[in-house]
Amino acid sequence: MTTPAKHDRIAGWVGNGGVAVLGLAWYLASTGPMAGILPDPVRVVGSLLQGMQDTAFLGNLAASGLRVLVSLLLALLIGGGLALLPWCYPALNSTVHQVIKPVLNSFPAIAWALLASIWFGVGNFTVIFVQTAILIPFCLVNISEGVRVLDRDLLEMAESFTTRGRRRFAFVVVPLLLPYAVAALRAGWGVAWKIALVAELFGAQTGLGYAMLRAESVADLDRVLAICLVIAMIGMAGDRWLIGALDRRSAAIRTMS
Amino acid sequence: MIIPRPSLDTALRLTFILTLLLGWLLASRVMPQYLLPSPQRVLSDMLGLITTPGLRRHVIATLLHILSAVGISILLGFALVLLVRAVPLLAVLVEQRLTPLANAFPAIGWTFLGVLWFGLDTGTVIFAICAMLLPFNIINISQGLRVLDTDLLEMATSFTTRPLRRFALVTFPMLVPFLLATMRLNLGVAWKVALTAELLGGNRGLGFLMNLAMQDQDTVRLLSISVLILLFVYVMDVRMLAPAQNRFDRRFR
Repeated sequence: MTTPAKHDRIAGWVGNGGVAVLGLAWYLASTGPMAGILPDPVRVVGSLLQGMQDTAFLGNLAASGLRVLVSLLLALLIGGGLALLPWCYPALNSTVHQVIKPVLNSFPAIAWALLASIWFGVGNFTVIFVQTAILIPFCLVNISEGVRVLDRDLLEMAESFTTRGRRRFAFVVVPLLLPYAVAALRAGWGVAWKIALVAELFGAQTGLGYAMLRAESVADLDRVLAICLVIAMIGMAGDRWLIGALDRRSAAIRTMS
Repeated sequence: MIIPRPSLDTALRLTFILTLLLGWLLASRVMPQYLLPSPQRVLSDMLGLITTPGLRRHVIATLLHILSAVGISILLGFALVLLVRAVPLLAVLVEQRLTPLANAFPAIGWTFLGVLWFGLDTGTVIFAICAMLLPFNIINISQGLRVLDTDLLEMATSFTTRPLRRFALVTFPMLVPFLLATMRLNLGVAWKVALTAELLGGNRGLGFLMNLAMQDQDTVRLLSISVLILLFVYVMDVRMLAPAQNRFDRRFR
């Protein structure tokens, strides 16, 4: 008879061991019977480590990172603004939720990337435009949820404290919406990095997507996969630590308010 | 029959759409054609996509890519979730190690791997869409199975000993809302990934047409494909899948 704690521990071993076994199997297959069909993981990781010491690669990483941060911020502002519109003017509800949201939500990323590169040429603006356009619906959906459950009693209480709408908005509405903004960031973080690849593939001369295009054009699949791994790790790490920390902080603000 | 009076809400929505179209029309007069073609030209090109046989086969190819990838990925997701339920020790490996990794791995990576394995062909496109959808499906299906009503299942066991009958009359109806929700999510994501995969790793489909249009700087074609997809996703999701889901939700819950 195994206790639940023991069961969890074994499952943890199986989890970590399983990843190791799968990696080893991949390595053996790629160096032995399936050479040329499976990329060698050791060389992929080697390419990754080599990139991490290469200033050009680090520059590309930083360029992508900056653009991701700017786009996330812009999407949060625009998406949040759109989410608050029906709250201020209820008659705009179906315009936001039945036209703007579904259109932005179903417009394919690649179409934005191609159109923006024709419209705005190659540069930072194109990439940030594409990423922001893709991220807005994530922010809109999450913050709308927050707007929907805004505490009427708290707002009423705030009204009795001050007549200045701006003050009420900054001290009551924004803190109440913060957890939902964090949820939006969490959903958008990984997506933003993935979209960065697509956007930079067509619309930039710097960034990880551009580095990937270069690697692909010289058939350097190790580097291509190394870049994919970087994106995957950033996505997972962001989800686990960065946003987790923000989450705790916003929960603290919430209980204070 | 009572005809509802158009509310302010609807009026504003229609005004917004008309303003957008009018803005597009006026802007296309001022801007050069290769930057912003007129809505009429985009519309006629879009009709051409559906009516010209040489172009229509690309629309059908994309549809087939999506449907087969969604089918395969849901089946695989089901198989993996059932495997984890049968061997609970694998839960951490599948749900906490492999699923997050697959979830964070970019679509382009899958596409380039697919090109290595299957060449610039249908296999690559279906593989890339499938790989992209699989983590969503594992998460959703395992959640769906987790909330299955165990009391109802127990009751069903007391009524019949035939497991197939139990599955068809009790388990399956309970799963229908989740399957529909999963299907809806899948189709929404699949459309977007399909274009990327076809553009970088395919030899037919709307993404492939976009690739050709990009090389010719053919903005009309790019816009007409985007609008076609927009309309298709809208009709399928808002007009078909969402109402179906609502109906099933009411019926089975």
